[in-house]
Amino acid sequence: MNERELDSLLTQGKKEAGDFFSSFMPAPTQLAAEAVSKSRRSWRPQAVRRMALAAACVAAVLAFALLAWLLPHAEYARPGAQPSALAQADDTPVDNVPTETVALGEDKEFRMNYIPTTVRDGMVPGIMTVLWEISGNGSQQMAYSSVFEYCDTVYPAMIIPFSSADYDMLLIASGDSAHGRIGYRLVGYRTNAIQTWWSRDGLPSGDISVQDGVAVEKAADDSQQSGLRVTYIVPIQITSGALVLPVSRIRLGVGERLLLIGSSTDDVDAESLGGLMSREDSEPYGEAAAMFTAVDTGEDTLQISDGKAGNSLAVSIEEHE
Amino acid sequence: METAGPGAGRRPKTADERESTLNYLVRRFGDRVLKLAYYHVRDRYLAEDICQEVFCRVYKHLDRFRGDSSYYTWIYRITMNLCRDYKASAYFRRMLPARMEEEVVAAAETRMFEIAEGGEVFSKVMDLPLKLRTVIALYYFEEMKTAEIAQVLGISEENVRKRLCRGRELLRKKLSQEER
Repeated sequence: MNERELDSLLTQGKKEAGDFFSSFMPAPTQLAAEAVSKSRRSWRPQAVRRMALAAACVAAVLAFALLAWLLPHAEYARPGAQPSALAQADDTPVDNVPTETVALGEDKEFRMNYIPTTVRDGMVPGIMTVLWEISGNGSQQMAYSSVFEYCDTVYPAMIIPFSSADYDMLLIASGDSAHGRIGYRLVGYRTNAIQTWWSRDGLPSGDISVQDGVAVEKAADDSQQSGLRVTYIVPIQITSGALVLPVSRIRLGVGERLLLIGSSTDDVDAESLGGLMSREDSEPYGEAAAMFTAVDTGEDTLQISDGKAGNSLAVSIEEHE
Repeated sequence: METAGPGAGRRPKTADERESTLNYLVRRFGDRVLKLAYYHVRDRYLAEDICQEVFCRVYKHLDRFRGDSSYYTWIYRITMNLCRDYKASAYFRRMLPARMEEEVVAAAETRMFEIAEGGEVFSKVMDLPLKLRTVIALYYFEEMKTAEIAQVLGISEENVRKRLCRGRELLRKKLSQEER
């Protein structure tokens, strides 16, 4: 469920709340009259008030004495005793959450929060990344959120620049320092909303970075000679009907992979013209993605199409050092 | 942020002025106070009691209203304080099994009130933990801004945003489970 779907459900919830409350709204005049009447009933002559005050003072002194005797014996005074449920329901002190500002275009600025999630909130411990869109008048609207479960380390956000598209894309990542794993999200505009284009979680000995304009994922893989599986991730945006790539050329090593991610759920039709790139089964990656592995050295070209428009990506494949 | 209506800028002095101001405030904020109380205590009759008590206090202290906040914020703060008092009161504790873990208490609270609440999403929001559901309800159902919520709840805007995010995430999880 994406942010927009959740927003839509919350709009539905607002209507449901309206229907629910419409059944028991008090009549204003009656409420005001009762408030005035109750307020007057609670009025007391000054002498009575003085007596009540004196009685309250005596009661307070007695209560204080009783408390002084009881406190050392009270259950909650024992070391390690748990606070009551109501006490636990109070809010924790506010810590400053890590925040940074990112821009995906001239008019698209976002404030990013990294909020720890806890079991107490009914969630898996981890880090929730939230993007707030900052509008011209300074107000902020939640545009995107994603939870990195079991993560405790925040990595700085990285931008994948698109010189010919309306908006750049964003790579956000968090790590699990105890187990050396990372998770990341490649996010960008899709049908006018910020959505996850590609995500990975729990990558062992993982690393994610932006190199020469594309995202590069590295993860431990015993089947590789180097012990690392390297995947270059190239998102493809559609701007004014044209397929737009962040780069026109990319360099790979033999055995390294190239993942093309389309902007819609339609098939990404991509073909290796030089035959140096082998296409893998698309199923694990979704219909909008195509995964290739570099099998031989040389110059190749990937011809990319979405059925309406096309583009190409030049690929230089070299032997591993 | 809304500001006061009649009597803004000066304190109502005569009984007629006080009653006229109270009538205005009840008409203007009565339903919102009731909703806020309900979001907090999740009991229709208790919420109505709180609502009445709020306006009783408003009437009593109209001459003490200093005008350094809007009536709106002042009334909401009174409501929140009364809600907290009620939840900590012996009456409310009697309604819930004593000495239970927070989750069990929350579940018991949910079971107690969920029958009355219609609407799939609304009831899911009401099933959220108190501090999350209040913020979600005020933001999405009452369309209050984060700064206003912060003022009413007496917490920082940063904290409001944190709760909004956590509330949304938890709600997403609950609604996704429902879909399956």
